Formats: sequence, C-alpha cells, structure tokens
Amino acid sequence: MNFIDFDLMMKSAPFLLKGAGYTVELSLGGMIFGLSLGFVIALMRLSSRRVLQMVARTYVSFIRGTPLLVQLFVIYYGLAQFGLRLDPIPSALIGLSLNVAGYTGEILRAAIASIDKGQWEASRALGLSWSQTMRLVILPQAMRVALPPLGNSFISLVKDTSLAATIQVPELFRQAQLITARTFQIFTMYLTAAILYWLISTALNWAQLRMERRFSRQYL
Amino acid sequence: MKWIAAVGLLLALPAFADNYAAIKSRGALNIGLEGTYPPFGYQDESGTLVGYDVDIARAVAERMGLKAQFFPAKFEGILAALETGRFDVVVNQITISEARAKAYDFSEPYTYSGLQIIVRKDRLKDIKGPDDLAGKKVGVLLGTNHEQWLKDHTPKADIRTYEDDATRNQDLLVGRIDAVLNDRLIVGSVLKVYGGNLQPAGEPLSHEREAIAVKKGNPDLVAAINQALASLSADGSLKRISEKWFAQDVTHP
Repeated sequence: MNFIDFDLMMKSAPFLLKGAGYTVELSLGGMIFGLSLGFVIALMRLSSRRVLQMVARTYVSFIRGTPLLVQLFVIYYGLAQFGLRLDPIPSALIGLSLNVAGYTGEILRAAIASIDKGQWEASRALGLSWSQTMRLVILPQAMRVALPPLGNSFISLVKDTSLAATIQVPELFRQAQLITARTFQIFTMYLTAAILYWLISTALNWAQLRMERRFSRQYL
Repeated sequence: MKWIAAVGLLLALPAFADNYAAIKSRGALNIGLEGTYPPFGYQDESGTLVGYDVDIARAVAERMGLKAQFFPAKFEGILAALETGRFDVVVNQITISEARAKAYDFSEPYTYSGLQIIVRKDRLKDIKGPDDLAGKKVGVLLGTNHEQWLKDHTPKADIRTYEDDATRNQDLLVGRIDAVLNDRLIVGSVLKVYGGNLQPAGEPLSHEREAIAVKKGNPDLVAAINQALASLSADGSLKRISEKWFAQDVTHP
C-alpha cells in the first residue's frame, strides 16, 4: 500500500468537500443558536432573581462538566428510547448548540459584567430604557471584550463537529470514514480530512482577527 | 441552508411506524445497515451505497412493493435502533443467535456462512485454528456474534473490540493485534485490498445463518419479508446477487 495515495486524495475530494459543507453548516448553525441561547443564559446569570441565576448556573455547570460526545449520545440514542427520535443532523445541531451556549453564556456574562457600572447609571440618567442601554451602550463595548474568546469557541466548535460522525452525520470526518471503509487507505484519508479541518480553522481565524480589528478601531 | 430544513424536520418529528400497515402506507421500507462493511454494504467510488446486503435489501423491498430507504448506523447500536423505530429492518449480515432471537424477530436466513480467522501472512505458521487464539489479541467488531463466539469458544483469547473493519484490519496489519475473527465472506475483499498481506488461517469455523432482523412482535412484516425472499429464491434472483459479489451461491445451505 502506498504511504499517501494522491490519486485517491483527488478522487475523494468531492465527497470530503461535501462533508466539509456539513461541517461548516453545523458550525454556523451551532454558533448562531448557541450564541442566542448563550445570551439568554448570560442575562439569567446577571439577573437579580435567584431562581434564574440558579437555573443558569446549573445549566452551565452541567454542559461544561460533561463530554460533548456523551451529550450527543444522550440526544441521538438516548432520547429515541422515549420516542423522541431525532434525525442525525437535528440531533447534532441541538447537541452542539446546547454545548456552545454553555460556554458562550459564560463569555458573554463576563463581558457584560466587565462594563463599568457607571455606564448603566449614566444611560439610565439620560432616560434610556434597559433594552436601549443594553443594545446601544453595553453590548457594543462588551462585544469587543467577548470577541476573542468567542472566536476561540467557534474554532473549537468547528473541530467538535467531527464528533457528529459518531451519530451518522455525513460531515467531513464521516466521509473520510466511509471512503476508508472501502479503500482501507487510513493514513491518506484521515490526513486529508485533517488538512481540510485546518484550512477551515485557518480561514475562521483570519476572519476573527479582521472582526476584532474592526470592533476595536472605533475606540482607538 | 440545510440546517434550517433540519430544524424544520425537528418540529415535524416522524411519527412512530413500527408495523407493516404503517410501512405500507409510507410506501418505503426503512433499512438499517453499517455502510462501512465491504462487500456487504459500503460506498463505492461514486459515493453510492452498494454491496451484497444492499442488493438483497433492495430486491426484498421491491418485491414487497416498497421503496428501499437506507439508514447508516454503527453496528453496536444497530439492533437497538429497531427498538426505537429509527428503521424497520436491519440487513447487515445479522447472524441468527439464541440471544438475539429472544429480543428480535428474524426472517428466514438468506446467507449461509461461517466464521474465519484472518492473520498477517507471516503469522500463518503459528495461528492455524481457534485453539491457537488463546492468549492472543483478537480483533472483532463491538456487539458482533464474532465477539460472542470468542467468549464462548476461546475464553482465553484477549478480545479487542473495534468500531469498524478498516481500523481493525489496520491494527492487524501493523501487528497491534494477532488475529481477526470475521465472516468468511469478507476474505475475498480482504485478500484483494491488502495485496495478500492478510490471509485466512485455517478452515471456516462455525456454520452461521444470516437473516433480516425485525423488531419483536411484527408477524405481518416478517411474513411479507419471507414471502419476498421465497419469491427471490424461486426465480434465481438471490443466487444471481450472491454470484455477483462472491462468485458462489451462499444463499442456500
């Protein structure tokens, strides 16, 4: 057997790229839903209601204290036993979103909390409502603080989508597994998949840096 | 984008359909298989699902007047997925065993095969049969009857379980394990893919019968499948499919 089978690399490219499409979609979907839920979690954590704080804290603790792989298995295999039979892609999307929410919730909470209390007081004194203050004054500043860790979360998420292969989502890693099953060219296929993940992460890293620069520009 | 459609799907959860009437009204037979198990079910160069089990399942569905829909699943959870209704039948070289017959219903067998020890070429001299497996590392797929057979017959073997054939065969090739136990019908494709570096050791071991597995308590579905298999056997279709993949007829004892 060849060390690296370039011919196979080329031939399998269309399938791997199709898989990479799912990888990107799962990542974007997971980030959008995860970030939205994460924002809710952050607000709950910052709320003055003890019950909301408790619920949010327990949620974050559970998500961060359990492996994503186990979370995906509970959703895909576990819930099916109780009649909630989710298909692979929705299962992965739910699992990834819930997971991302646990992490981004903490990032957003810390970012919002880092904005000086005087900003709140000044905004309220000017007659801005709570939501206007949040939207116009606090969030723009908090985003600047939150962007670097959010970007890191996103890149982790891209790599974590590979776990969806275990619940039959035809994403990049699963495509590599499927071709490996036929050709038995393990090194070639998994190396090619690794390179594609690297390209996706690098592209995102670049986008993140550009965004960070843009958000900080107006404050320089 | 597709994930939006996926969320839509979520809201319209598929209703439970675990009896023949529901399958007929759906017009499609949902078939579970690994999809990573050549030559039984795997993706060919064009990304199409092909294989002996795929052809059999397709032919059976067609005789039943149904469309064949395939759902990949990991072997270790494939029978359990019948329970949850993820699919209606499993067509994946499921060997009929006493333990499984307690939990699942089976069609009449459509494959008559046996177990085969496979080793690296240079180990042929010291592994000649099941007795030689004592104390050796033997690779099998998690949840297979191959794993069970080892536990029953050579309890001294050091059993290593794997998720798919490719990684297990690779470990055999590089010497992390000493032998592999699998269906004898994979030998042809193993010989070809590894250029003769992996070889069958000794004769096939047991006689096994493989059948289509169904969730327990669906006599109508089992009867319809058996009728389809009998008709495919009578007109030579089963034989033709078998000869296409194995150059021999393995559909009869």
